[in-house]
Amino acid sequence: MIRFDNVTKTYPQQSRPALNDVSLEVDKGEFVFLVGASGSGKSTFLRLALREEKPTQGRIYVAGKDLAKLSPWKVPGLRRQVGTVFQDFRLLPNKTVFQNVAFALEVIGRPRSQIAKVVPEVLDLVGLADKHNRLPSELSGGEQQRVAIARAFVNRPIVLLADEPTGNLDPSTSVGIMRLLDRINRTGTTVVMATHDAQIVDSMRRRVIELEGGKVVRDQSRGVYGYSS
Amino acid sequence: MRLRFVFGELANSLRRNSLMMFAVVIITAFSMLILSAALLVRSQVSITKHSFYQKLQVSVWLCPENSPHAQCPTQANNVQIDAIRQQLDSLRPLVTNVEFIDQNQAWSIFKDLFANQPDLINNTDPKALPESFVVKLSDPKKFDVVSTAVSGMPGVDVVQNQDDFLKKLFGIMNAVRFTALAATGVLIIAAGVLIGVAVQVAAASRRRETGIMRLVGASRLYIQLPFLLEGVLASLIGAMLGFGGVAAIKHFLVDGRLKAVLPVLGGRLIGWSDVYATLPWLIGLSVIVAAFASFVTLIRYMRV
Repeated sequence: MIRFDNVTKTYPQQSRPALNDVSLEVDKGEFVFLVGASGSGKSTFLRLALREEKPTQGRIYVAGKDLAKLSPWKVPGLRRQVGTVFQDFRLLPNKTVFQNVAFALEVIGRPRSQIAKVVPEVLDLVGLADKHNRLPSELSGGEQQRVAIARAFVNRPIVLLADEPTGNLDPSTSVGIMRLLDRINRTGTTVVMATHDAQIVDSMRRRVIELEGGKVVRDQSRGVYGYSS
Repeated sequence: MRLRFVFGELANSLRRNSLMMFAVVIITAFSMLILSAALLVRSQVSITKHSFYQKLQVSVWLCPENSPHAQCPTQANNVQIDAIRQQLDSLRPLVTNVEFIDQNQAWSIFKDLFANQPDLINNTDPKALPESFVVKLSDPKKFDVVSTAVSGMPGVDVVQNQDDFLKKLFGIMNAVRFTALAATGVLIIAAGVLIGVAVQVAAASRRRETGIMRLVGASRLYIQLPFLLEGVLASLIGAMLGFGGVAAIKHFLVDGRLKAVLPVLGGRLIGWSDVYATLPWLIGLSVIVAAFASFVTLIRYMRV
């Protein structure tokens, strides 16, 4: 589903690469934690997979596409298959919950009838069916993140990339978000989640990829956050 | 493509960015007004030229009695007059008509011309009026041929052509036109830059939206079209206002005031058809400038 072949990414005007010769593969339906200190390359990994950046060296395949060969006008097609969730939610403050989720479908030209059908379904999935008319400012952080997840998932992507989705949330709210991501993963969606939250990683017991200085230093199925003996 | 979405975004953005768009409308209106004026001056020049050249004639003034000019020691006699007439006739077909105005005719023309100044008529001796040939040319621009052929012949005082006056008139009109065109050029550059900045501001104020659109896989067209339309729409409104200004000038100034100097401009002024003819230029140019400025700005400042 996601394959990195000897990928190196060096940002302009930086001597040290953000990712250094990384090779790894994430299979369809997997749930992967990406852990490591700040600056270890987690975000760069996600940005490369979304083709927000191009690798300096190496090949990247996402959803069966060779990103190096993907022409610019086909990038939107890739992003329709890859949902994204961020630490800061990135909701539109002047749109309601329903409108925020519907926005993701409107801007890719989906018909109104489909939007009217699909958005309530996904709001139901994330547990916000009764709050579809609220503005983001009227919601708690956890609820806002649920809206963001609903927006990322409403188009049924085959991959969901989450960049520290619980970074702004308290532990009990985070658990709810993790349950939701787990549910989405069980529908067959591949989930890659970058996180600092040791408790969550330890409790989920899923595959853990640890980055350090741009290199993969650990790749462990059913792993934990820290080094395990 | 869901037009409703695109136009919804467009309306939203126009509302938020209204001051900037107002500036775009104003500057486009002005540049288009001046462009239209330049085009209309050109139309007027060609109308004036045409009507003058149709009427243009050359006067060959003959020596009168007691002339102060050195080339006229005596009044032109019949032998000289015949020689001049033959010389003019030899220039056919360039010369289409030669009419001799004798002193009697000159006197009646003079009386007609100054009918409201009886003192002048009473104090003028008919014998003091010069006789002349009025020569019509098939091509009035070839006045020089006639002038060189008869100037200096015995009995010829001055060869006079209205062309000199026309040259001055057209010189002034062309100067007006080129000044207007140069001003249009400067204003259009300013309008283009302003549109670019306005689109940039609009794009910056909606960076959150466009960022999300990008992430969920909206196409470049979907993301950028509202901004492009925003610039084009503002510019188009400006062009229409500019055209309104031109129509007002035509109605109040040209039809109202310029009537007084009608003869100087050849008896005919630009009509409404000339005014309408500038409209496609205004619309075309404003759309092209706005689309180009918006497009370049979006390519440079918006990641997709």
